Amino acid sequence: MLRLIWVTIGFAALAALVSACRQDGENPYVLWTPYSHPKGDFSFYYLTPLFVRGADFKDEHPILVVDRFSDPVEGELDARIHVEAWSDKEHSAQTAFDDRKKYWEAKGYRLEQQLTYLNYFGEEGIMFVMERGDQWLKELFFSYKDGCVAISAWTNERGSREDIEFLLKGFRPGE
Amino acid sequence: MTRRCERRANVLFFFVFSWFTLVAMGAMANDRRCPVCHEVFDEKVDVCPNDGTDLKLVGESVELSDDGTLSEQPPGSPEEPAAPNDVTPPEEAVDGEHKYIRQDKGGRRRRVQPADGDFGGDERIDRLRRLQDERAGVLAPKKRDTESGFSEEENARLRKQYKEIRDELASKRSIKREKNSPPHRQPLKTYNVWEQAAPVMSIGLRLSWMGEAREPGPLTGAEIDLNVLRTNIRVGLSSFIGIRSVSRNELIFLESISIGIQRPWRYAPYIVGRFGIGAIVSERFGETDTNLIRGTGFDTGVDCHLNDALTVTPSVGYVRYVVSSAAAWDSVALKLSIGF
Repeated sequence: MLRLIWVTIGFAALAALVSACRQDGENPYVLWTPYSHPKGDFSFYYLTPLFVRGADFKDEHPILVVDRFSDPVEGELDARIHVEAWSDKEHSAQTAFDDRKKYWEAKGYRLEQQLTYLNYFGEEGIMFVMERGDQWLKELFFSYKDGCVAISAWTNERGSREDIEFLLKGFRPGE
Repeated sequence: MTRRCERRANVLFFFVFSWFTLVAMGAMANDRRCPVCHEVFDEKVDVCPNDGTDLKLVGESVELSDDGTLSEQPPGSPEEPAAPNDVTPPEEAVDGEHKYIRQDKGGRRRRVQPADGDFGGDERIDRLRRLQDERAGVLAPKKRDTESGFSEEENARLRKQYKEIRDELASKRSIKREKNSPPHRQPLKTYNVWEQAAPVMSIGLRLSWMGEAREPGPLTGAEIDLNVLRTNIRVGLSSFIGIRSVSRNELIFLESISIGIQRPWRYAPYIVGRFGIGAIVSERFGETDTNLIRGTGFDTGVDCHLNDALTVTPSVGYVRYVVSSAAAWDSVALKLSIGF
């Protein structure tokens, strides 16, 4: 009887320990470096020291690249991975979506996909995917206040598309 | 005849009858021959003085003739032919020496006369000793003691003297042995492997969790423990390598030190605190991303000593993984290891 009591106490302690432990981390980007817009228009996560500041980096318009090409061509992908984000207070999300799509189609990119999009935090936006040869890009647009916020990611490496998807999923309007 | 006369007649008859009986017994009484040594003794002699034979029981009656000689000659003598049924002829002498025939062989005992017609005393003694008759064997020691001249008192004295000498020698040997042995020698202490509670080395599987988003993120791997102190105080070092299963697998290395207490026993319970430091390695965007990770917590388990060489240790504990100020996981840690 006494042994049964000790076993019961042990199991209860173990159950309390299990319930007290958090199996989940803070969020999936706990190991990533957060970036926040100076005015709090948007935020996202990236990896350091993997990502470095690209050319024309601004705090309101961050540009982050991985393995910058030594001789980039304007309008072309300038690094192995290119990520940039901006806010547009003059256009809505749909207007900005259409304008960007036309811009890339003029450069020879072919539209592969366009859908509504839910980020990790459950916020809804719209996105499109375009390809040109081995280059692949994806852009997201979220309505924010009277305008919109957007993020764009390029890569010419098929193996990195999944990681880019993961990065884009962490983009959210506001802080 | 009156009753009184009748009584007297009966008494007279009794006496006459008794006297006649005694006379007849006396007339019939003969000297007795010992079947062992074949000497003739008077009827009054009940026990043969030579070998202790009971003459009343087994003595052979012999009659003395008028001239005092034996009327019955021993069988096998040259003056009288042997009986055909129970007589074995004596063996012929070789080279003039008589050949002694053992009396214990089958057939009637026969006395072999030497060439000179007389038995030597030593030969007789030897013959007696070689007899395998039980009666002779019982009486022979007495015969020997009598012949050797030792009495019971002398034998007892000799035995006592021998015992004293033997005891003295034994005591001398024991004293010598104690002198040669190390002083204050403690008895060998039985080595009990369970006095060393923890195994020297153990290898096992460890399971904990580092979740990500809605994924539980199990962290499974192998851990090798090396216990430096293994008695009541337990100090050990461990190396862990495992995989964190999330959307993309990550590799984790963790080097830990554990300090705790343990009760030495066959099923030795323990509780230890752990502190470890290592790295979490993941591949993102085609490149390796490494972050420093710290793991602290405690473990409690039981070292089950199956035998002298094998120990099974289940344990459960708590661990907190910290990668950065914002990245921390609190997890249950389960472990099963085999120790040597």
